[in-house]
Amino acid sequence: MATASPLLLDREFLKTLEQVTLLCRTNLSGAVGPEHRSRTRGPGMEFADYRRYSFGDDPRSLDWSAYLRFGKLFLKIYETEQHIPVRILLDRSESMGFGDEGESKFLYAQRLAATFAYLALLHLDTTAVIPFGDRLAKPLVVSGGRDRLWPVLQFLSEQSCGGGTDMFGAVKEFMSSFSSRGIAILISDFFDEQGCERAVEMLRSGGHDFVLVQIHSAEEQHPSAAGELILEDAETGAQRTVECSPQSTALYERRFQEFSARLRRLAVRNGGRYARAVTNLAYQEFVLRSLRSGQVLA
Amino acid sequence: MNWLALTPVEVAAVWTALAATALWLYLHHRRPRHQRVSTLRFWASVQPISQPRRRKLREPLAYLAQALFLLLLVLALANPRWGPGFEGRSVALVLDTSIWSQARPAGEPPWIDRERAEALRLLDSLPYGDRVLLLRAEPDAPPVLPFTTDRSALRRAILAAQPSSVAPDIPRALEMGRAALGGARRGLLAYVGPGLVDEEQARGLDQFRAEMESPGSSGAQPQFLMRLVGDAASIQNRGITRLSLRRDAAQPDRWRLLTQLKNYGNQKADVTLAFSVNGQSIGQRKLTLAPQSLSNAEDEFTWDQGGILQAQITPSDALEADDRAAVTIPTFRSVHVAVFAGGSSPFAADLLSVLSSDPYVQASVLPQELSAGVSPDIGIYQGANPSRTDFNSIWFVNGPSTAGSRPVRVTGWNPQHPVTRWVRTHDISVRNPATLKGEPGDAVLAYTEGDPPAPLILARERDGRRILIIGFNPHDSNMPQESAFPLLMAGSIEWMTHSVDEAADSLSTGEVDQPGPATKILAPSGREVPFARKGAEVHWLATETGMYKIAGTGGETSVPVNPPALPEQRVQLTAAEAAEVEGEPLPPATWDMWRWLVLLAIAALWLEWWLYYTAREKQRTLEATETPGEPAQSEIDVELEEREKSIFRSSNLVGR
Repeated sequence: MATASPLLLDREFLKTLEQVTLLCRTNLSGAVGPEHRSRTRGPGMEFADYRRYSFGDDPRSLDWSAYLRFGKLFLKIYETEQHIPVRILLDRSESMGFGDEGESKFLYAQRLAATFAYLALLHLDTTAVIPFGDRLAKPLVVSGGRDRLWPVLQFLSEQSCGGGTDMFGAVKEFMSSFSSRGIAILISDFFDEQGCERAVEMLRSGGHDFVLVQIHSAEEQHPSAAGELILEDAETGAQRTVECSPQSTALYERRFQEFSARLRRLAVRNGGRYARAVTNLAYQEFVLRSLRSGQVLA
Repeated sequence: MNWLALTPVEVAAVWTALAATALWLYLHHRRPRHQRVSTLRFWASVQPISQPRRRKLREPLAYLAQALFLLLLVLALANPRWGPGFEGRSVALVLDTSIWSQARPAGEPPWIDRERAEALRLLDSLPYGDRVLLLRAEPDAPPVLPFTTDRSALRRAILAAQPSSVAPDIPRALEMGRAALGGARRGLLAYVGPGLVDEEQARGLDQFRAEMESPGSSGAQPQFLMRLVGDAASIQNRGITRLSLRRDAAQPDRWRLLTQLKNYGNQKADVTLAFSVNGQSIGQRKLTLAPQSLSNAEDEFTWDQGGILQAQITPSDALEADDRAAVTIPTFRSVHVAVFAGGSSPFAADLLSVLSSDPYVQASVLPQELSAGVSPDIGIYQGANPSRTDFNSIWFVNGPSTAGSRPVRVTGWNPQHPVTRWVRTHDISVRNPATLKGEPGDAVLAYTEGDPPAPLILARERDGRRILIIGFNPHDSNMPQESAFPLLMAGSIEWMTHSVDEAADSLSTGEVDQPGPATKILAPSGREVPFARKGAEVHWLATETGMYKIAGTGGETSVPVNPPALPEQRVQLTAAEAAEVEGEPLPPATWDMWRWLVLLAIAALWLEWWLYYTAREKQRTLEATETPGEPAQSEIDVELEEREKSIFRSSNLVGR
């Protein structure tokens, strides 16, 4: 079981993240103020469009140049900068304790959570880190800029993995606790015996802009074990005796690929985004390349 | 089918053991390793392995092929042959490593090398099935190697054979070889060596040849071959055959020395004969030795101590072993005899007159009460039995004196005992003889006439001391006037002190007898020599020349052993003895099966592997059967890909 170090992110990487933005769907309604552009028109700095003046509009927004040119009153419309809450759901079930040598899935997930939290704080958004396993744990909600990263790191470092996974129950609880819409980033291996379809559909129905970040190890993708094995599920304790032959390993890998593909389909089908991280890939590279190419970051 | 290496029972036992081991390995199900994984969901489609309660042979055909492979392998190792059995010939090879094999003619290799080469040549001419026994042509013909077909071991034994220093006994060694071949259906007896015998051995060899030519009781005699090496006629050798010492009767430190030399060559030889005692030269002389003759050289020298006298002839010749000889010079020591009696008694006077005639005896008369303070070699007592027996003693014990007693004749002198062996008289008579009671182990040396005769003289050994009990007073008999009295006393002193060595002869290799106790005998090479005790003597077989060390209770003594007189008569070979080895009858055709068995075993092994892995592959394929009912997702994937791309293409996502 991995325990995160307080220094989850290095300083150079944090500097790099200053050039990165967390993308979100613009139709989210939130508090006006911070730095996220939105489709919502209102007071702001960025010009968006013109429209005809109606009675009651603020005459300060009239474009007098256009009046002189066309003889009609046009109103300048600006994009309103939104305040979007970012919720990071971090899977801390027992299965997250596995990984490749020196890097467990949970540590990887902690780093990603810290990265997303930093990106949110960087843009003055409110962020919540919500660990879950078979139920939702006590979340950490912070806001107020990059300087508030330290409590997030401290909070993440205190987390440890254990117990089973009940993603639907956790999301359900999350929905009742965090009713306002926002960006929901679900970081997990998605090894839930009950499946994660209902949880994703619930996120969609709640209007959240959600991102599914699947984390797995290389060993989970390509098991190296050979011979006869008694395999024990770390979360359920169930056992199964199998012979790891090339044929059975190939079948396993095929099943794993199908699982990942199904997860991706599930995300896309429900209007969300999907990214897959392998723990033997440096998390910086995953953040700066995979998440960018997956339209999660820009 | 015959089995050269393993009997059918052994083959069956070995195969059963191996097949059982293979069966155990087949049945043995390795305990699966336990491993925790993050999820089992991806293994769900892999067929689980059922753990049967009873172990079941998974690949029976493969196991049968394995058992067949093991059987064929064991059979191949057993080296079976198809066809009637064939037994090779028995061969007794007598290698003459006696002293002559040390000979090294000028400019030629030593004879032992030629013997080895000839023996190897003979060995190579024998078929490989022949069993060969290797013997030495020495008195006890010790076997170097028992019957064996191992040619490499035989070659090693022949090459490792070293010459000894004993005289050969060729007829005896050949007899031993023939006896060893006695049970064999076909045999070969071969001798390899110089073939030099003395006259007695020549007669024995002739008799042996005659017996070999006559059909034996058990059928045909073995073929007898002789391979002679070296040219005995051209070899020039002179040797010392004997050293003999005799002490001068009047002057104990004066020795007369007889040296016997033999010129074995056919040319006259001038040699220098040098003597030394304990390394100190005492003289030399030049001699001319006639060819093929024995010469004697007599010398005298004075030496009042013991030591080793060594004689050496120069220049050296083809056989250096017999160019020197040594003999032990006995140590001179006078015997101290104490007569415990009154100085003026007739008993003492009678004894002193007898003892003083012996120049090696120093006699003195001492009062009886002084016996506790002296330690003579021999004490002579008169009257009652002495209380002390710290030294050898003679007791004169007379019976009660009765007036008018008649003299009694002494009879039954024991001619076997050293004390009385020279006493041959019937004229001795005594008065008032004592009644002696013998103890177990006592030897009666004389009796008084009567019916039955009573013991008169007893010889007793007690606690390592020798006691002579004489049951009369010499003065009460006519013995002092008879010559038997000094003979009796001289015999008594010799028995008790072994007398004084007046002569010594050199010892030769072979069987050696030496007086005295021994606990260990070491040869000149340092090896311990086994020996036997024969009464007061030790007996051993000396095969080396030099100093033998005899360790006994009283210390260590050195005994020089010299080369023997060498046989010089060359054996004349008959045509049959010089012939080649008789050809073996062709063995009946047999078929070596092991090669075919190995090929079949390889095929069985391949079959086992093929069956095993085929069965395993089938099982794995079965286990890895894909779960049916998986929906085809390709069309959905395409649709979703398009949808995802359209979302990304749209401006629905915004950044800062």
